Amino acid sequence: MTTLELPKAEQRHSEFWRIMTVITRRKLSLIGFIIIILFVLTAIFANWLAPYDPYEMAPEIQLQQPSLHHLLGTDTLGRDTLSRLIYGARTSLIIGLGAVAIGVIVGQSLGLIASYFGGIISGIIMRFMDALMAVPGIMSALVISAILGGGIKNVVIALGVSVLAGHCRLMCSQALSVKQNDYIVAGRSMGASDVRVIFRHILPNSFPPLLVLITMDLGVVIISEAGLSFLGVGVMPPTPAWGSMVNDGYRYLLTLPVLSFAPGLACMLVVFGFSMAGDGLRDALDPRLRGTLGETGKGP
Amino acid sequence: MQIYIIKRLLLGLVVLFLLTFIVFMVMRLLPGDPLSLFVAQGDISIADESKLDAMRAEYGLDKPLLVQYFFWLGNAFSGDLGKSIFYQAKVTKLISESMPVTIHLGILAVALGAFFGIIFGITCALRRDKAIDSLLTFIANIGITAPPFWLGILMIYLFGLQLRWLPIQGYTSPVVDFWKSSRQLIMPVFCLSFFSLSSIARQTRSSMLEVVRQDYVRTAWAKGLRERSIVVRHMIKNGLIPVVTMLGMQVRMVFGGSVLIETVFNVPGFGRLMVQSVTSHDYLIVQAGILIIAAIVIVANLLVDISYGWLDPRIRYG
Repeated sequence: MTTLELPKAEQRHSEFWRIMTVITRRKLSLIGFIIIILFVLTAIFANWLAPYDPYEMAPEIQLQQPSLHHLLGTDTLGRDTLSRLIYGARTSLIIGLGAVAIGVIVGQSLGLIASYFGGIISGIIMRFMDALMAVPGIMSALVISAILGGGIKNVVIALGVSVLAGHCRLMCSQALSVKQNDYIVAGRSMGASDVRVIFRHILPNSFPPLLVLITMDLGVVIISEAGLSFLGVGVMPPTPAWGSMVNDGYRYLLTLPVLSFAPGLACMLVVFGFSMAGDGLRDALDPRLRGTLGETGKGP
Repeated sequence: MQIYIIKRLLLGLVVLFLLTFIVFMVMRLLPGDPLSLFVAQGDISIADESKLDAMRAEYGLDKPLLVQYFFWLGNAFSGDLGKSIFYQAKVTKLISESMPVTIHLGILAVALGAFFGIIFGITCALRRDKAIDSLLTFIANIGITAPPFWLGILMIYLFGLQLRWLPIQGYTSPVVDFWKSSRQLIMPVFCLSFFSLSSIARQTRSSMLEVVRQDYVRTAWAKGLRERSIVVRHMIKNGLIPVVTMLGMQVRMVFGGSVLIETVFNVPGFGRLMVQSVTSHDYLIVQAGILIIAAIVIVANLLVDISYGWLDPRIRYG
């Protein structure tokens, strides 16, 4: 008896590894992801990384130039700038995740509802989104945040509302195009419920562009939060936030420019990270570019 | 086409109407009586209840919310947006004084951003992966990620305080003193346009690269057309269609950016007025301001959509 040899299945690369390959071969996206990872780690381990307590005031050492003791100097109240910068990362991350979560949960749910039911429901939802989209994001966030009275929770709500409409529209258009597919019709004919069709079929198949939007929006939210805090209607003192740190340092621009420069630079780096990572993801997930990117390592 | 435009205009009106309602309700349902703030400003003489009630009546704050809303809406349609409690001046006057400043800055910023953005984008696409492409792409990536207010502060530090080339704040009408006005405008306009320029350059580059791969471009090369005519007639004309969308979005961007830039450079424009009214809970200005911006943005979007049909004859409106 000879043993029957089954032909070995050809090794298949999973979608995940294909995307990872495309991203890691593009220098800028790779840098973006590294920045994001460093940023998240900084935010999580702020307690260990920060050399001083970011809230501890020491009037006798206020407005010191950078030195070995205080690498980035101290602010008006004698607080260590580097420590506040590190804790500021935590503030930014919390607000970024919170606001985008609101955008995703509320916006995308509304988008799904609009696309699935269509008709008058879609009309009402979409006109509301048009109304939101007609006002610049920073301005609606400014108004909402100021009315609610600032603070991390209220900034999250304000910025969540400002990114909500984009998620709703994208989800709606994605779902509408996915809905055309035969497998949705097949699922329905097999007696799948509305909920099942939405969660098992429409949602996962609409996901790639939404992932790109989420990545990009994290950057947008972080830069907007800095803007709000700079204007004094965002995160309230003494909580460390990059935007308000820039504003605080503004008055000492001539004597101690690092007070304003450092937090702005940190903010720019993080936004750069999210933006480049988003670019990489978009190219990696774009089905039209499939097969054209992995080999050369260069973007379109 | 006419039917499409009329339909879009009506839809725009519906959206505006909706927006007035949302803004009005959001501003009133939340805590913070505007009059109590006025009292807190230090004017003790009106602190007693009877006078406060009289003032509430004067500003119509004693009526039910819906009545207040329709009262305000009716007045708004006849061109009366109310009187600011904080500034003690007509809202229309405040807005019409500050709006031209922002429009002046905005038009310059968008024009600069569009002109250089498109040129940079085309240059990058035509010289793909060369040094000039890498450099301009890098600058554009900085432009979309640098916080605009921080950029303004960097410029103030470098050109204003260290080199002393440019005034660091203020605004002068170009009619009064053109030279001074231009010098004051350089930094704010640059900061305002840098984001537009960068995003337009990125969009132009990627949509041009998309066009390069199209069959009709290859056909044009095969026909033996000169490079200039291929680039101008075939590539740019088709590659710029997505860029027009970006241009429409710039109106919204500029109004958003003006909030920060005008505060940094102390320019008495619409953005700064909004910030000040928001922080002083002067909701009549905020309501009116949002209404006006939304109207401008909606019209701009409509113009963009109409221009598609002109740029791309394949697009037809039903």
